[in-house]
Amino acid sequence: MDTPSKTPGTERTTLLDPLDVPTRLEGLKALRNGWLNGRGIAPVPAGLDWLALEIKTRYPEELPLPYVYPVAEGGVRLEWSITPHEVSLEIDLSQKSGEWHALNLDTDVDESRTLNLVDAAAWAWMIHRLSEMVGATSRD
Amino acid sequence: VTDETLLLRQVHPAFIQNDRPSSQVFRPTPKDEHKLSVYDGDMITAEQSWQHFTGDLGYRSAGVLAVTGRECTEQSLPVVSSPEVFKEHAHIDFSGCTASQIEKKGKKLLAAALVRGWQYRA
Repeated sequence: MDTPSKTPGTERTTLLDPLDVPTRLEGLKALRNGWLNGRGIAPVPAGLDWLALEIKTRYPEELPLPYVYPVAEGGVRLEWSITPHEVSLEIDLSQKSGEWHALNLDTDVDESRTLNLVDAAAWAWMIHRLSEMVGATSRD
Repeated sequence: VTDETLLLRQVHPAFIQNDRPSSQVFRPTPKDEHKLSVYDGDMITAEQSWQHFTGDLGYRSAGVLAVTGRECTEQSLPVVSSPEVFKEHAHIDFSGCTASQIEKKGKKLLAAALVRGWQYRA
């Protein structure tokens, strides 16, 4: 009986996180104009590629991955549930800007901010805020 | 529509990832003119609303979530019957809310809906 030959390294498998952001963004390229029950603008593929690269480059592995959803106006929305915080970043892919909103469901306090996502400082600020929320949750 | 009325909201499949719905579900888009469409749960069941939405109207929905009239009132959001659209139609009125207020109220409504759980899942 023939024994299947092995190429060095091919026996390694990588389990993809179900929230893997580049994979999800790639999937959003399948949307067409009208995707939202006749409305809904399809996100521009180049914009999705830009965001995937930004996330891959800037987003630390130790933070929880965001959920990713399309937005009716052609953008993308990242969301995190970091109890008791509900966080969203709605991204305008053409402007490369984002509307940050975080709500603490326990205290009812919310915060919002417009982020210029071309600016590394904006990503750093966002990652710092998420880290604070994760840290507070893990201390509880 | 009373405080106890379930307001049934259809959830588009693109707004679900790993079984988690987006807080967009309870937020009107700019083209909605601040009005979030719902079905009046006193007049139609969740499953019937899904059948109407996907069958009669030909739209896509992965299931139905619901908030009550009281939960909207607590967010200072009026609920208005709008039978001119179709007889069971109502809307939650976000008029006068800023973008961040809409975000906050949408997230609170989704949290309430998720505590209640899916009313129908396709």
